[in-house]
Amino acid sequence: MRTIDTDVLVVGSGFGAAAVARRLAEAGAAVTLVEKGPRVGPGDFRQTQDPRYITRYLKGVSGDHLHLTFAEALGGGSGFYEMVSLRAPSLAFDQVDGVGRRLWPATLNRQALDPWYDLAERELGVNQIPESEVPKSGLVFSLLLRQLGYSCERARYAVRNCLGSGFCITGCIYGAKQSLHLNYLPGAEAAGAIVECDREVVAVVPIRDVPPRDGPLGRVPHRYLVETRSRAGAAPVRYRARIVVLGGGTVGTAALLLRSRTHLPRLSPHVGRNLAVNGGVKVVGLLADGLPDGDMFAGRSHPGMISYEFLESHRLTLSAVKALPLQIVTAARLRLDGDDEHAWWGEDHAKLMARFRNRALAIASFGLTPPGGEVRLDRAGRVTVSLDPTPALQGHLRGARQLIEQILTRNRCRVLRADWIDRSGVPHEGTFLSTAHQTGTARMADRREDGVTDPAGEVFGYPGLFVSDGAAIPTSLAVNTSLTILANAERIAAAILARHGLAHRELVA
Amino acid sequence: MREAATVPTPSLLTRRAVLARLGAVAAAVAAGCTPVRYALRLYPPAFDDDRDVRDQTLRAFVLAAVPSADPGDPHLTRAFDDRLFPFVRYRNFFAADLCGRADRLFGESRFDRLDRREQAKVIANGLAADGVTRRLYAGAVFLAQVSVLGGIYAPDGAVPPLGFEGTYQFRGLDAITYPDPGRFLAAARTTNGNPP
Repeated sequence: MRTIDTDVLVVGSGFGAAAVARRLAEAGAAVTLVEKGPRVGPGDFRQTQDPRYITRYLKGVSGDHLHLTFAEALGGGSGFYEMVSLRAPSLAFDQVDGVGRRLWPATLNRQALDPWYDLAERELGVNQIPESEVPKSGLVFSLLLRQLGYSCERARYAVRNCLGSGFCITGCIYGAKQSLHLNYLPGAEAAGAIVECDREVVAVVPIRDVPPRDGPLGRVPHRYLVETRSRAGAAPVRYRARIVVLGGGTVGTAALLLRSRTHLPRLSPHVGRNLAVNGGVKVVGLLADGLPDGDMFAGRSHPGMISYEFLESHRLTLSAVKALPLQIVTAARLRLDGDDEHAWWGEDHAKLMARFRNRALAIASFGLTPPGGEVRLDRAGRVTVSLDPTPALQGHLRGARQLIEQILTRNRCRVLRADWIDRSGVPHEGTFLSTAHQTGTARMADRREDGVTDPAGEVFGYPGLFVSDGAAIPTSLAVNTSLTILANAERIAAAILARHGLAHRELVA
Repeated sequence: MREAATVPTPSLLTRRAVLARLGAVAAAVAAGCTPVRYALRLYPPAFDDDRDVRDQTLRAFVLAAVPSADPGDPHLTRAFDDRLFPFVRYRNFFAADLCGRADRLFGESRFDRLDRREQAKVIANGLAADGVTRRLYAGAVFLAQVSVLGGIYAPDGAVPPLGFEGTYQFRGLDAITYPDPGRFLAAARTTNGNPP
């Protein structure tokens, strides 16, 4: 097997990986970024509902009470997300475990992350949506809150010159959405980083007794062998790296660490545990007569408005939800509450769906729910996920549902019966959450007893091995996770540079 | 010209045998293991031999399950032949079961010859049957909805029953929003949209 030396090996190319690759390459380190998925960019994206296209890039894993969605492609989720870019609320950083210990490291809170949020927002061109561009569904959602005296905000997005085509989640063909293909990744390559796609990392193996050698990072030895295999038929390659940064996502990073555990015996037992999922519910209502039309299909994928009214009282945020038709029919069996139990198909369903575009409004909650999930490997080495539906979690979800239903019914809207379904169309029984907001499987902590990495993202017991993606984020955030992951990755990159006496180009500028 | 007007009805015993086998290996259905495939051959051969009968049955099923579907849609039953979906393995058995139920409920061995109301009753009957049959029928309805209402085969992704135009039509801001957003906007708690 061919062995290639590099100063820094970055695993993954999404929000947690691209910033680290770029900053270290800009500082002069030899950086190689290895992405499991294919090379893809705005020129490859399509406005389509073809499942063959969608499943080429978006993958999922289901288990007890939980389904997680994640991307496998250059740019990670940034190509396919709704471009919502919000800072985590201060409350998110104050969450505690069952015995009252703070889940985030002591030095990390909103104030500490704000400078990194500033930097990430500048790079992505994050701005609040103008009033004149808020989609109809977002406006009607806001109106429902306004009529009850509640607050609602125009949300923030990583987009420039948005046309509102509504296909954010299949990739923006206009290059308006500021995916990482337009900023961090070309920045990394321009600084000399090598980007290898269709290459999967299978193990991280420490190297013992290697003498330090001079390099851009100072006198640092090559400390890790990273074994990879090609998914495109090329030969396997082994990288020898001074620094390894894991940024393959909350699921991918946990799986890689678990697969490498035999080589990394000092790994914390927390690897794979503490999965947090922004637990929430979705409720669909039929607008009351007299309320203006919404529009499920017009405008950007996220309808523009979010409410923080219930952050303190219910520990959640609320936003309206838009969806492509395929997302609607694969998510739930819908019928009017009180209708025949078979009304999720046939004539009654056809009548309901004919009104759906303009008269249905979906509202979702994202909650500060406890990190009660887990990513594991089964005996065959396949990834499995599960979530513990604790009474506390169920109570949170019940409260969220009641809150949303009250908002709808107090506005004289009818609540639709939505039975959320699995991949074969059968309703889930009991608590079941589906999300792309997973975090926490290799969380930062002040002590090894509480997490997998130190506050700088370095894995306890393994110098030079870092986690910089959603896996490092210790809790649910109650908002979309991408901006926090990116800001934290910027912070981790700066910490690595500072440790090696290198300058962070943006901070110097 | 072929004679395929009447399809032999699956015997109750055979159907029970099939379902018993299916029930015994229900956990393996998704994996499509050999015993399941073997069991699924225990239905009238007409559905293997006469594709027209099968297709007409499935076509009638899709129109009954999703009445807003366009009968002239060339992709109406394509999902049932699409190897992307595991249902393709159960397609012939499912068509046979529809006809068997049609015969038992209405004395008509061709599902597609029932009127829409009768077809709906046949589907409801399958959805109220034992667990494996229920799952089969639920999967078939789901697949029909995905195909017709999900727009997966439309070249432009359009879904006329939902009023979805598919690929972006450049209709501008007027089609996206209202001209007077101030009428809708609730009071803001923040100055920039970020949470406190």
